[in-house]
Order: sequence, then C-alpha cells, then structure tokens
Amino acid sequence: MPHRHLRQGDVVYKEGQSCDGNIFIVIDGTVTELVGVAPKMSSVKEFTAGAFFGDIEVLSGSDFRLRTMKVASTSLVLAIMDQHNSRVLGGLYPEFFLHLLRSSIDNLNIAEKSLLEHKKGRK
Amino acid sequence: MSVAHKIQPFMARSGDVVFKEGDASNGCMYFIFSGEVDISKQGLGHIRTLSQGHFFGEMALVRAIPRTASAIVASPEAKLGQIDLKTFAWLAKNNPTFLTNLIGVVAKRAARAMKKVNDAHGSTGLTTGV
Repeated sequence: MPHRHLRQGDVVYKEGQSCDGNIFIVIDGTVTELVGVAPKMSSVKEFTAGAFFGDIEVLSGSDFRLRTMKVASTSLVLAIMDQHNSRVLGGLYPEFFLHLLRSSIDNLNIAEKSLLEHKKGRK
Repeated sequence: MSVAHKIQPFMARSGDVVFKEGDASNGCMYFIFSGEVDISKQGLGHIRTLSQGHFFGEMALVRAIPRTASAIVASPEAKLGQIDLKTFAWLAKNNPTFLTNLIGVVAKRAARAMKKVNDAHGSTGLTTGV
C-alpha cells in the first residue's frame, strides 16, 4: 500500500471535497475529525496508529467527503488503501470486515447522538 | 455452499416478533430473503419497513447491548436468515461482495446521519479556511 507523509496542521481531506475512493490507515501520528464550518469547527473523534478513516464515504458510495480530517500530531504517516485492496484484505482477514461494520455502526451512533443533542439544545 | 445455505433461512408469519426493543442480544443480525419486517422504536413508533435484500439487527454483531428497536414481521409470510459472527467470518472469506454490500447499507445510513449533522452545524458542503 502506498504511504503519505504529512505535518501538523495539514488537511488529509476537507468536507465537500470529491471522494477519491481511498480508505486511510494511520501508521503513525494522530488525525482529528472535524465537523462544522471554519472557524467554528469542532472535533468529533481522534484517530491514532492502527485506526482507519474515510471508510464511510467509500462504502456508502458518497461522491464527497463528509468530514474534514486534519493532522493533530507533529507528523503523520498514512497508508492508502483503495477499494481493491480493501476487498483483498477482507478476504484474507475477515476481522477487517467486522472492523468496517463496527466503524459504520459507531459513526451512525455518534451522528445520531449529535443530532439528538442538537435538537435538545434548540428546545 | 451458497450464501442462502450458510445463512440457514427460517420462515416467520405476520405478527411474529423477531426481537423486541430491550431484549438481550443473541449476537445475531438478520437478512430478509423475502417478505417484509417492520422496525419500530418506543417514543418514535414505526421507523421503517424492510423488505427483500435488506438486513437488520446488525448492532448485535459488534456490541453486546440490548436490542435498540423492535422487529416484527409485517407480510403474511417472511423468509429470514440469521447471521452470527461465525457466518459473518465465512461470508468475508467466501462472498466478500455480499458482505461489502451489507456493510455498504450501514455506511449509507451513517452517511445520511452525518450529512444531517453537517446541516445542523451549518456546513455548506464546501469547507473553506481550514
């Protein structure tokens, strides 16, 4: 898998940017998932070594990225996995598909909780 | 062995409760081969009706928490299949396309919810100034 090296403050991708079909695995460093419009952006989640992101857009067939991913650590190394590689990996290691399912469910739960809190906040 | 054989279908009739909100998880999700199943939740009532090719109860595969909604057969008859962790692993090895489609459905639900969160935060879909 190809690797990508980034520095603190770099943006892996922005919300609204067209989706390139890649899933990113954090090899070293930390990435923050941001929601909202700059400068009022809030962190939703952090991804460290071993975690992956970008899967929701790829698996849902979204044309655009749904979140902004920014490098939080001094440096960051990512492995880039395309759809072909993710299928191969899933065939070799079934747990990978379980991780993908878990990730989708977690993202769904986080988003639903956030919506609920937003609704409560408006009342 | 086909997906249908591995998943082991079973028949259910109208009104049969596949699981009830609050039930302890049996670690299985369900696939609909034919028929319809109503998903409902206390306080929200009927959420959606699922039909052939759909699945439900997926949270039980990854989280050992009580069922968060009820699933009741809506059609006169329904042919359903149980998917446990063992079957899930078998599918991953033997029919990854089936599994990626299945995961894709959950991802689509998540993507829809995430878009709503973006709208709630006033995002335009075109982020600037990061």
